[in-house]
Amino acid sequence: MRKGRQDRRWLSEAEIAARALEGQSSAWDEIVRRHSHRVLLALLARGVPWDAAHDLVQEVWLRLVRQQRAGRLQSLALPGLAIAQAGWLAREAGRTKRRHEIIMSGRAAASVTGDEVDHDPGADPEEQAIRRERLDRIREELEVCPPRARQIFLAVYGPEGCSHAEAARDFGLSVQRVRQAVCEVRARVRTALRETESGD
Amino acid sequence: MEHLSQEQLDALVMGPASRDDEAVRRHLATCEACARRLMRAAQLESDLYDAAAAAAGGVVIARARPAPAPIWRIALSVAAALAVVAFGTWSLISRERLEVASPPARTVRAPSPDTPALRAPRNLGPGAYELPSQDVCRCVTVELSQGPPTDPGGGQPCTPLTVR
Repeated sequence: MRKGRQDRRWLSEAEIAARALEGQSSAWDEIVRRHSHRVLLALLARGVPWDAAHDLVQEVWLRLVRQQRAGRLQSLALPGLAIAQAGWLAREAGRTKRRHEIIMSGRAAASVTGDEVDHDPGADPEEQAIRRERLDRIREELEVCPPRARQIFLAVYGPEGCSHAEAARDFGLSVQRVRQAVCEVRARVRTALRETESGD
Repeated sequence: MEHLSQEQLDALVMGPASRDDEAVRRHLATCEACARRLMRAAQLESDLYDAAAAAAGGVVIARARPAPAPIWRIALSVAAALAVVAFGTWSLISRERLEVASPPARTVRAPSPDTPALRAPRNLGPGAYELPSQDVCRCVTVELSQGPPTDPGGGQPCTPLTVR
């Protein structure tokens, strides 16, 4: 099991971050490949519209590379730094959008209001507590998942962030089977969270 | 276009997202309900990553073994443990020996013929005399009294046998 990872050299986060801080473009490419999806999800979870979220992800990486080249980047803790940067950019975009709407007679956007985009979920203690409870509930559900499904899920969602194809190769399964296992775990977690929230 | 299905939303937030599906893009830009559902799906997905990172973090910690201790430290610990065990065993054995051992042998002389306990019961010693059988008081009176024992007969030999 997991032969694929052993066959090729797998650089740790610390190694890649160190190389990126030295200015290696290949390290930046790897960082973008690994963490863009997390940054995108963080933006979507804040209510940033689909297209705007994709644009902001690109903006985040451009800014980080610029900061590194200017010597203003002393450390690189990912994906946290990129997500924080994305949150700041989303708030700025939200403020700009509201100003624009006020100037242009306040016609509302179709998707999510600017207040939600401007809101920083990490700053509210109550929301932090709710989020911690959610994470605890997810962890509990992961504990009772079938072991094989849990292993596959952690390979895909864990720090290594395997793609479904990589996980399929590592576990000796078909891509379809990997996807099925991941979807089963997600469905279990979603049901557990729904039950918890309805119980409250 | 109808609302996005849960599968479509899952596909949007799970894989490397593609921006190619023009219909989905347009729908998300105009449908507030689907935009909110996408927001919730992305929140769940983000939480899943965080929870998996925490769970995998535990695995990493479990995998990470501490650096092996120096040989001398292991040897010292083993030697100390052996010394404690040996001392304890020796203490127990010594205590058992003390409890079981017979008293030390002494050199004794052969008892003299005059030793009272070795003489025949009827063989009185020199200068002794034996009272006649009729003068022997076989009557024993036991009283519970606080004072010293007294002679109830006032010095006279008691003839009748009274039992109280």
